[in-house]
Amino acid sequence: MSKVQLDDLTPNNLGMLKRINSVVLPTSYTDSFYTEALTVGQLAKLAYYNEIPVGAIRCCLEVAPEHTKPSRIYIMTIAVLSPYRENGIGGMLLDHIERYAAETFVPELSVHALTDDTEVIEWYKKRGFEIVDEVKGYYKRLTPAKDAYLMVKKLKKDQ
Amino acid sequence: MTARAPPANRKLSNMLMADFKQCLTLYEKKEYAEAIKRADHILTQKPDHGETLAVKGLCRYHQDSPVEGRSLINAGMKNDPESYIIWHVLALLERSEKNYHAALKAYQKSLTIDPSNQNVLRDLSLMQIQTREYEPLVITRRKQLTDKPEIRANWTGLAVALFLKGDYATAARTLAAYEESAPEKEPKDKTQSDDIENCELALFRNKCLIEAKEYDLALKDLEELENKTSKRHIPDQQSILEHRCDIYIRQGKTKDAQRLTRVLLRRNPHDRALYRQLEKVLGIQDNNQLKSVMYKKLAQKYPRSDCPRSMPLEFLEGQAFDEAADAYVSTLIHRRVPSAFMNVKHLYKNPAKALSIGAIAQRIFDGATEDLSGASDFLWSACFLAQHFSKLGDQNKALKFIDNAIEHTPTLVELHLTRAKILKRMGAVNKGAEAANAARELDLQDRYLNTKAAKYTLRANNADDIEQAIKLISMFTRNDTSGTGVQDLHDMQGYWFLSELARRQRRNGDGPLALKRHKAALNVFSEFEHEQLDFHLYALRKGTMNAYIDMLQWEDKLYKSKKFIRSTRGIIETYIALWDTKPDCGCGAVIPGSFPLKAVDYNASTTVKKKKKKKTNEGSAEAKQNPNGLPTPEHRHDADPEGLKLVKNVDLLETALVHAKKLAEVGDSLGLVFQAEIYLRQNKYMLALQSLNKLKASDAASPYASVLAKVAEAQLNGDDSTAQNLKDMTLKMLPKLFNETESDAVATARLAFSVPSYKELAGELLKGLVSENATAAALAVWAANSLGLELEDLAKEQYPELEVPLPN
Ligand SMILES: CC(C)(COP(=O)(O)OP(=O)(O)OC[C@H]1O[C@@H](n2cnc3c(N)ncnc32)[C@H](O)[C@@H]1OP(=O)(O)O)[C@@H](O)C(=O)NCCC(=O)NCCS
Repeated sequence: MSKVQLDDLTPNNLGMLKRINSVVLPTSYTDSFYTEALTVGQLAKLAYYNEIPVGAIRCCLEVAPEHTKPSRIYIMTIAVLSPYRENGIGGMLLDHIERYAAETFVPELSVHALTDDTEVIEWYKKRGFEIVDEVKGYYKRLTPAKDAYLMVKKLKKDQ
Repeated sequence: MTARAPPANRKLSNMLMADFKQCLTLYEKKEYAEAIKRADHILTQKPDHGETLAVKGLCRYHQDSPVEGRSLINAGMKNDPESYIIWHVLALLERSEKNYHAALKAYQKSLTIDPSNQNVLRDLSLMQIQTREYEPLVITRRKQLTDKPEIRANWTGLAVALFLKGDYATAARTLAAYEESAPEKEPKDKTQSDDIENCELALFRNKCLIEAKEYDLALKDLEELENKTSKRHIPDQQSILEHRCDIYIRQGKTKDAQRLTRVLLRRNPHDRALYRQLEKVLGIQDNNQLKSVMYKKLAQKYPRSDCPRSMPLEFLEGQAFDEAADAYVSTLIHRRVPSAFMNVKHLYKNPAKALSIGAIAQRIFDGATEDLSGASDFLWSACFLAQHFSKLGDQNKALKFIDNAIEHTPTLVELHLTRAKILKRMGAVNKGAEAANAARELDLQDRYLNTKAAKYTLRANNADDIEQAIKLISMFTRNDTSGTGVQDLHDMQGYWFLSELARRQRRNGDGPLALKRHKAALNVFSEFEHEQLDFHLYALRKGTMNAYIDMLQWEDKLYKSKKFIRSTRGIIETYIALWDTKPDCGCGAVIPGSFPLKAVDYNASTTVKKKKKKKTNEGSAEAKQNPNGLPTPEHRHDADPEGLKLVKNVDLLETALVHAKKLAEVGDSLGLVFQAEIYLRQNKYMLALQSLNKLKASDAASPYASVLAKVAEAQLNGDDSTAQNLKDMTLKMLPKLFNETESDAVATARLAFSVPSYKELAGELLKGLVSENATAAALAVWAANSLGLELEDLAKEQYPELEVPLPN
């Protein structure tokens, strides 16, 4: 059995997602961000290493105006505790979402990344994301506010 | 015996007799209002008819009018003292009141008048067993059996009575007689419960033979039970083996006992008692070398059992210990066993062993690699070391280890719990509660974490701790319509919660509420006692004698439990303190007063204003939330929410005395000390002396008690100056009264409160407490504070993290 496993988010382990995000990510998230995380099903996942939660992803579906079907999955947060990085855990979480997108016929994934966080940008690029836009002052809650790239990955139709 | 002629006033006309019979039937159907109507009808024509008065009284009793009920029964008894009905009625009342001895007497009296009443006979036997009157119980049970030999439970009932009385041989003969005489069921009619009953019966009979020291008979009996072709065969091979092994041990047949102990061990290699038994039958208890060899072999044989690895650590020393501990502790840490430290904590009595164990964990910690393969070793050894240093008293070092680990992996629950404990030991009780709560938030479905968080919250120093704690526990309880689970924890006998709440209320200075919670905690124990009553009949009917006898033996030790003793001490202390804080108590006259409580308004009304029900649909939302899917119970009306009824118009000292007597009865020497303190307050110096002399006769005599005795003597002789001198001595000795440091601070301050000139001395004593540990320091600061003394700076010097309890 692999040491790393993904598991669903539940009301009982929601505190784990909060904990991981709060120590890894620079911005803090509202209570509703977390309570709504319970409503997105497979779009939120915890990654366990030796039965300890060490990483998490939380996404949402975006439905473009005038459309009924979701046009893409937006990654709101992805985080892996620093001692556990570079072991494929982040990749596993992302793969899960990509697989889910394919199964549900959602054509693309998107994410915002700090423009000066080259490591993360590289990480996404290696996984097929491309920068499509730059949003000035996207991270309003940071002081000073910081800019972000919007990155998109188009999924192949017949995957 | 011939019954005396009934008194003239008992006789009823045929018409009224019919009414009376109906009245009885209605009572049995629990239709009390209707029964009372009949009774009143009879009484209008025969106002002094005793039996009617009594039955009416019993109905009133069950209608929640206990006082009126009892006085009606008494009136009936006066009119017709020789009626078996009235005595029976009285017995039922006493039984409902849980006055088992009184009920017993009333049943007995009823039975002498009407010896043929089977129900009374049965109920009498219940009272006899409830009060552990085994000799008379045997007589009652024998009579039941003679009257109705066709009932199986009457045979086993007699055998159980004989067993309890210690007459094992007769018990065995009784059971044998039953088995031989009982009609055998056709195999096709046998049910599974028949099989279980037969098995229980056979094993019980065998147990009786063993206790009767009839070992050869018992062995022969076991052979029969084991033999598949015998009609007495039972399938419980485990019990047969255990019995046989027990016999061999008692007979001193060591070879056979060794062989069977090993067989049993193979069946369950996780039973510590069996390993000890093996040491004993091998005769190597005192030979560490041979024991060490034995455990090594067993460890190889049972690789999955903890016992043969951990048990030798208790007797091994030096290098042998180091090696064995290394193997054991490093496996626990490598395997990420959360209870690793708990498993070795008891070895810390021995400082050399503690050091050795610490070194093992340190080696793993130092050797853990930076990459992920070393993460688990790093985390679990850090957690272990934190506990290790905390246990050794170095809280700062402990905190460093745990903080380091939490920074690495903040999602490991155990780390936060360990951190909570360290903080608590540093006196940082608020931060401790926060840490426990952080652990809880990571895993909301873990009730253990929830309980810990609630407990730490109750021990913290925030104004809203009690509400917070109740909110927490209510996440796991069956909540009533008020939305909390406090009632559920009463119903479910959640002792830990009730006693923690009591201690917190006491600390808050709220005497009546502390009493109320202490009482609820103690109630858990009396419920255990009263609930036995249901099993005396049930167990015999179900034929589960062995478990039943185990239960009785457990009940016999019930009140000796540490928890019971702790809560009883708590309630006595609170009663005495309440008395001392009463403005008109005149305390300080003899011995110093108690640590103060908030003033109680003894004139306050105790009637509860019923809150109007809010017209929201909160209730239904709660019902949906109920985790068990059960309907939400109604919020029961609390007739005494502030505990005022426990103190208003109550003789506080007399009530405390009842508890102190019980405490002495269960063998806690403080019971006698408390009695003396109460008698001194009541100016009953002779009685105080008597309690103290009793204490002196036991080996629990304490210097404090002998000083108290001298105070009493001086008072008796009217020698005021000696009394005053001795009072000075009691002050110095009082801190030795209690073992718990918490009480030290309280006790020390107690003296100073009543005699202002003691303040300086108390200050010195409290200073001494500061150096003991953070908990003691916090209490000393608290106590000093109430005396108008300043200790906080001194305490904070030693414990920078110290959070001092709320001032009143
Ligand atoms: C971005 C982040 C989630 C990546 O998590 P991660 O677990 O380290 O991801 P991975 O291990 O899958 O990938 C990291 C690198 O390690 C490599 N790697 C090392 N060991 C590996 C293994 N055993 N298996 C697979 N990949 C491995 C990967 O190939 C990858 O390198 P590459 O990008 O050059 O291909 C993590 O770094 C993080 O939480 N960063 C901070 C938070 C943040 O910025 N989040 C994004 C904003 S929303």
